[in-house]
Amino acid sequence: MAVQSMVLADVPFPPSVEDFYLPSILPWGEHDNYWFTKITALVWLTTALIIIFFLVSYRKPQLVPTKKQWIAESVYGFVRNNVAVEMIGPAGVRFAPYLTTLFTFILLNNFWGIVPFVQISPNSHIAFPAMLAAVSYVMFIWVGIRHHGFVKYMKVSLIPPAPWFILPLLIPIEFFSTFLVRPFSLAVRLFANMFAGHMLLLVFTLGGFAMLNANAWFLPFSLVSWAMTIALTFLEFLVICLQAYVFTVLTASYVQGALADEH
Amino acid sequence: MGMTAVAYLLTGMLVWGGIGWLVDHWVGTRGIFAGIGAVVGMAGGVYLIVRRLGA
Repeated sequence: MAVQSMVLADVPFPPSVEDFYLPSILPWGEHDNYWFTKITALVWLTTALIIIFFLVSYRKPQLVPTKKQWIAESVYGFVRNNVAVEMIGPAGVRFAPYLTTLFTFILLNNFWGIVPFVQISPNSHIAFPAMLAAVSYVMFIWVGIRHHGFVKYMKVSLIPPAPWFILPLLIPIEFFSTFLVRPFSLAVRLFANMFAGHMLLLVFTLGGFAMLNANAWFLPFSLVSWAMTIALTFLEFLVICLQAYVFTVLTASYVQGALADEH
Repeated sequence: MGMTAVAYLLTGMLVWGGIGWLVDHWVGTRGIFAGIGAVVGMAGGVYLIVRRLGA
């Protein structure tokens, strides 16, 4: 049929985890070689973009900010005031640079997931969220030990205010939730959101083609499916911003917990 | 924070449920200690939420 010949001959459906492993760029097109792929390129691009953007916009700071300077100052001001100071208090200003870097890095990396023709986020590979979570994890423990000293920090974070006879029940829970679950949930939350988002877009895009291939009369359903892809892209935008924010806020709240004096 | 509360509930159940499961294996029972452990762990989680996140 006429319609069918327009459609790509063979669309792989349903999408699988394999779709996240893209062919290598250097050496070109090689499979099972993951040293330099689209994912790697995107991460380096993100890093470069953030560095260049902040350097350029702060090059000659004006008293009345230019447009670029205004954007950069807004981002930093937002993380500094609404995340760092809000969660940690006045001492949080120290952590504003790290939190801003974290926020912009995650935001931009996530954002590749909905940029047309790019449409995959590096954070849909768990290695990147895991590394970021590890950095935050080491940092909040380090900050806690620096602030309290090792023994006192362990006491503050492991021993809740409770009568002695329930402590044996509570200390394992505290240990588990503070030192094991936190980095894990931080990494998995970001990874799973980005992974699921990419999967969702794949299902609806490829699903449209798959239906059309099965029967040309399914065209209306395919159109609905592709319309859903566009709608879900907007939903993804929400998820992208939210997850970048959540990661930053949780890191800040862990630092706050490490610095807290009494409990 | 909501996340922290959920984390306490889940880890409470997991830790003590897990310990109960190990006890089950050791003693040879078929799940009674895992059940008790999960309930006790949840109670511990609720207690921690009240103490750490409550007033």
